[in-house]
Amino acid sequence: MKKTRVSELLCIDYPIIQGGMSLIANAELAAAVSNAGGLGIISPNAGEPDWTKVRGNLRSQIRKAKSLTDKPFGVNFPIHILGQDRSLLDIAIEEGVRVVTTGAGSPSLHTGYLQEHHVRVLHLVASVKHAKGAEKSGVDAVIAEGYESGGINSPDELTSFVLVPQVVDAVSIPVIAAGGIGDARGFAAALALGAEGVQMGTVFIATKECIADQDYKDAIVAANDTATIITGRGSMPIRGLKSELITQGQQIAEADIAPKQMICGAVAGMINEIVSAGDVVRNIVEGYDRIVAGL
Amino acid sequence: MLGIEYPIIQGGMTWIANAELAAAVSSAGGLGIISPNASMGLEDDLLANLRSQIRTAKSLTDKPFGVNLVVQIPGIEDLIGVIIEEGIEVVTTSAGNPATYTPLLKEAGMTVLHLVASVRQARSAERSGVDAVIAEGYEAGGHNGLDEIPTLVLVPQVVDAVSIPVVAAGGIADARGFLAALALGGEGVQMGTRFIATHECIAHGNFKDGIIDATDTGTMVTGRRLAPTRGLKNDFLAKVDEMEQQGATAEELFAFIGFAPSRIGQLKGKMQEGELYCGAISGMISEIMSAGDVVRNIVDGYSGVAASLKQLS
Repeated sequence: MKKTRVSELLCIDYPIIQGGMSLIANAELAAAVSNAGGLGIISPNAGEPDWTKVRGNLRSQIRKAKSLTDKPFGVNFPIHILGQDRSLLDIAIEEGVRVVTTGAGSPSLHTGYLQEHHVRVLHLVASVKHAKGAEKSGVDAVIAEGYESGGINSPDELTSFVLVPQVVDAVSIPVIAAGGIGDARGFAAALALGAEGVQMGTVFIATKECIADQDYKDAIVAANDTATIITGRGSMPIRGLKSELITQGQQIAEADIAPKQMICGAVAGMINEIVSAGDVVRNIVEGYDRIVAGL
Repeated sequence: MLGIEYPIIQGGMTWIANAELAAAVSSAGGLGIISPNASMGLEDDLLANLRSQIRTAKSLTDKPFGVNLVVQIPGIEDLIGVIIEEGIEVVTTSAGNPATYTPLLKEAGMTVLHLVASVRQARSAERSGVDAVIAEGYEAGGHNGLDEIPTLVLVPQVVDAVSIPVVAAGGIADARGFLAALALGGEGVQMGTRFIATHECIAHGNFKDGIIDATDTGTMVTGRRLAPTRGLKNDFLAKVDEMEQQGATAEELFAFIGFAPSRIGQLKGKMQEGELYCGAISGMISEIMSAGDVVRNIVDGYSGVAASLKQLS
């Protein structure tokens, strides 16, 4: 497929971004996505639940990814965890990372700093108001993430289908759709809604390269359309697989997100096999041509 | 299958899917749908209302239109009697077991589209012999499925699960949503909220203006444990939400919500005391237009969106 503004911005072949999932967005996964022409994203704590070791972990994850690919990849930073501290950002900058995705905090905090160091900033938003705020802060693109997505969600609960076109209408920077996308149909639908790229998390968990536990991958493959649930409404809404852990309902909101908690998106029911991350990207690119030829 | 030009179906919204609206949609090449309760008073005769709505629509269009049946309501057999007598050829059915009435409707020569909100419901509807399913996502206004599955993930999973055509509903209001629905494997769309904000819809002007003024965060879902329902945020929904948070029982909630608030909200324009069913796409709707223009804008917009997608391939 041809390049969108997102592909140009990130110097990638296909506007397909892998979500920077906390704990499980590891170097091997990110490198595989980038090698296939998408953009892989590393989580600073990938494979390392002990946050006191995050600096060393981030550096080693970045170096490992560099050893596996010469294509661009990025790092995801939740802003509320960083606060004012830029030491993790500095590691990414020192190691030559050119793309950062940010979320869960004010984009005005670090966007300018990153851009001064030639890093592109993509900021996660879940409403029109936040998208406009992010554009004002100077981010290069917004990732409009709908209620379908796994993990922590916005209390506004806007689904991708209604969020994406409204964000597209509200900002002039490129919009990347996230939440509920798992195949070429979802990719084409996102582009139809006006997005210029997609970010996918859950589908990349169920890949050979992802460091997630086999049980976790198997649970996603086994999930059906009704397998995910939102807990923590009223405090911190989180989507994950229904399980003993999560069906305790509201209690989960107060608990920390344990590494074994099966966070995943509503698209889990569509994921039926564990494939390589490169095949995820290639299947979407090939499927896209078929779908648009039929429109 | 439906004998229409464009696969654009207008939702059969309880109080406000009136003959004039349905006729305008059908005349523009889509499929208008009448609700038996459209525009009626709480004490009015439902059968007489349905008959008069159908006859008005017939006087306004010679194109096919349909009727929406909520199959779990009492007296459904009598409603089916009226639509058979009046020669209606398409029905959309919802909120009940499709196995109960589909054979009767099919015997009368009707095309039956059944509303589903999960893969399981879609499979069961297909087994019951319906002609198509309307896969309605969590974005939709009014009553929603307990499973809260959004359109983007519901539609492709239903498409994969059944071999009959799938109509996408919930969150669609323009050519972009229409194309997205087709990209997901839908073969048509049903839209409700977009058709409320039209000249022909009998909804009160205040309600239409409420949809126009709504932002992206303008709707909310209440009744998650009983019957999740989406509507415009207002005092009424805030009260329902508060009762739920305080642990109100199902009986208390049903007694408070009842049947009247949705009517006074939608037909009488009581914006705070009423219940204003509408979809999450309200924030994208910014003008009141004719129902025919809604259909034409989507048809006209289609080629532009499709061309830009093809250009990337």
